[in-house]
Amino acid sequence: MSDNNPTQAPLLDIQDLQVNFHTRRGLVRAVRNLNLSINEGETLALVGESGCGKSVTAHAITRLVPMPPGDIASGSILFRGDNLLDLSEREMRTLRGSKISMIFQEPMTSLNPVFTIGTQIAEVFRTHTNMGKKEAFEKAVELLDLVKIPAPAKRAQSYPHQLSGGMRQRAMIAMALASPEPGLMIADEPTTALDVTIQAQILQLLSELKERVGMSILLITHDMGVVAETADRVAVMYAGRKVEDAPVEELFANPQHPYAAGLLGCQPSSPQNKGAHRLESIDGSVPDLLSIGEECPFSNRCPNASDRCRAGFPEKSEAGPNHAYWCHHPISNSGVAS
Amino acid sequence: MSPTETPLLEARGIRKHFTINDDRGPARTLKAVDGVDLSIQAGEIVGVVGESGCGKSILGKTILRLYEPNDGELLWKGEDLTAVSGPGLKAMRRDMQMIFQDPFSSLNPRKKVHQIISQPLRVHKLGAPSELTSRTEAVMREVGINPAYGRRYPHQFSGGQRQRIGIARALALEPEFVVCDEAVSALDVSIQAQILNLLLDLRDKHGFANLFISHDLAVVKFIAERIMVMYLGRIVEQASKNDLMAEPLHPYTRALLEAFPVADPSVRHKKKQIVVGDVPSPMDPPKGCHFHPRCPLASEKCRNEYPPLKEAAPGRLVACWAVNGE
Ligand SMILES: Nc1ncnc2c1ncn2[C@@H]1O[C@H](COP(=O)(O)OP(=O)(O)OP(=O)(O)O)[C@@H](O)[C@H]1O
Ligand SMILES: Nc1ncnc2c1ncn2[C@@H]1O[C@H](COP(=O)(O)OP(=O)(O)OP(=O)(O)O)[C@@H](O)[C@H]1O
Ligand code: SF4
Ligand SMILES: [Mg+2]
Ligand SMILES: [Mg+2]
Repeated sequence: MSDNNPTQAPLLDIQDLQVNFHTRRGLVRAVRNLNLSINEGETLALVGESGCGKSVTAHAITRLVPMPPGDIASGSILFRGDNLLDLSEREMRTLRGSKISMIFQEPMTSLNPVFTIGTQIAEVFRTHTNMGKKEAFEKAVELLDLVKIPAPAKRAQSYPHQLSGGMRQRAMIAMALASPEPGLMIADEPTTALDVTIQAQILQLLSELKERVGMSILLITHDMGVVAETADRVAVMYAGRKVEDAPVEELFANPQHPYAAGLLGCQPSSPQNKGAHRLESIDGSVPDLLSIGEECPFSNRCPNASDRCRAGFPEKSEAGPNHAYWCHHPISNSGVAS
Repeated sequence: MSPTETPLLEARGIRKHFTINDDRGPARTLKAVDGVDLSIQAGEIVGVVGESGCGKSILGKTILRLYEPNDGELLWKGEDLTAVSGPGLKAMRRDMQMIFQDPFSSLNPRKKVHQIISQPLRVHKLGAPSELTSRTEAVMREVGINPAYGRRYPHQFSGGQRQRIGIARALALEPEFVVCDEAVSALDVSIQAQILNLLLDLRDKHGFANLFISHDLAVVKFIAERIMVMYLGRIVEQASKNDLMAEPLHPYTRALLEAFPVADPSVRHKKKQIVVGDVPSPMDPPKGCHFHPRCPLASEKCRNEYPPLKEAAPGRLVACWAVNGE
């Protein structure tokens, strides 16, 4: 649990971020007016339908949005007070791998196939300190042990393809921990490709390490079960917009945005579907990002939609402390429009 | 369902082995499906769960005879299916259809949607051309695709709509048995819920039996009436959904249920007992009970002898020495 100390500045503070892609078909507004903050020691889950802008947000933070076709049209991303969008490519490279690390769904794409994992982790030590080769390799073995890889000294000699998917993800986590001061770990669907017993192991490992190292995690996932078990706070995105932001228990107990409520309702594992003959479902599908103007992007599927919704995206409303949503006709009308 | 009724489909001791010739030494045998018994009554939904590589897809394809089993018997309404070939097999195939995970790669991108859906009708020479059109349009309506879109191509539809097209194609022949292999796994949950509801509506209306294969326990738990749990090519537990969820008996089933994340933050602080270790390679499964290296209850016997699948309680089958005793 994070104790959100309101007087402490957030670790990461994204303000009014806009990321566009200039495609042959037209302008894709992948992330629109996004405000998102992550506190020290907090796990923030970013959830939403495929294509809603979760990975693009992560890529904007790490400055890995391909430009062109991408374009960060406006906004700022403050990390411990520095605007990441102002850093030089070189400063940014030092920051990735040291204070900000990333793990992905398929670790194979981020591990180098021609080096052993021990060598790759040792290399991270060596770029950030003046450690010798042998010492760095020993430290790498210690980290492999920390992430619970059995027979770590032997495994350090393995090439990525010789490891199972779960082992590779552990190796990626070890690599993230090799940085001198891990501040933020961005985990983009880190367990989606793994079997559920292995997923449970990795999620447990991540939360243990988070406590131990004191880092924050931005966890991108489409699995509300994973959110329920690991997140402190949740931001729900839909078609490029953040539509709700709340502490995890609050979101599950008291969702305000009809999409957030629908998303929870259609989970086969959610308590409200126990014994149900049919799942709750959301009709229709996500509109093409190219065709979305200023309206609420959920208005074509939303049971509560009115002309107001089709005319313009709503302002922020608050349903309680740290609980914000963007909707003209929320689930309960207790919200006070700001 | 009375047990004396002849099952719609019955499999006894089905094996499907592959010979692997790679650069890592001599040829070896991969026992993808290794002695599976299964029976499905008309109209029943049976779920198959298990982790990647445990043999779910190969089992589904083998009972449809898309793969020839190395061993075992397949009975369709009591008739030996492995002995049938040629026109007889073609006729039986009409009654058995498969719906796949990836709605995109399973639909021919160069064919219009109405051609895709009516293709099985044409292959099986069912109906005159005019009848073909009306029948195609009727199935499209049933799965929620506007028949006016029949002239579009698959890429012009969303993932969920493509899965509806795949379902329409499978149902055009009014099969009695459908295998769904990860049919909703590639879809966003909001769309997944639509498709699961649709499958249930269609089953209620047409009464086809369904073998529903998925690695997602939550989905199987929702849709299936009976559940089979697979581990490395074998069934380790089989029970009605309610029995299995109320009290899983096999240690692997327990591990699976325990590991499965539940979408309810209020239960999260219950300390999880997470099973250790990796899923072993099916090329080289552990001797004895395949689960023994990860099992908290493993004994000497488990390390040496594979436990038979036995009735552990009425209507419940479990393959475990600790559960069934010696
Ligand atoms: N290089 C690119 N060129 C054009 N459009 C892009 C590019 N990268 C992303 N997009 C678009 O931006 C939108 C957001 O994509 P993003 O990858 O962030 O989705 P996501 O929320 O991570 O989805 P998923 O759950 O499928 O990973 C998508 O509509 C996508 O098509
Ligand atoms: N054509 C083939 N030749 C050789 N081995 C195969 C073949 N098809 C599948 N296998 C192997 O058989 C085993 C069972 O495969 P299967 O596809 O049935 O697994 P699954 O349970 O469906 O897994 P998943 O959840 O990943 O779909 C796997 O180890 C797989 O690698
Ligand atoms: S703003 Fe309107 S359309 Fe959008 S979610 Fe709220 S009620 Fe629905
Ligand atoms: Mg993504
Ligand atoms: Mg499969």
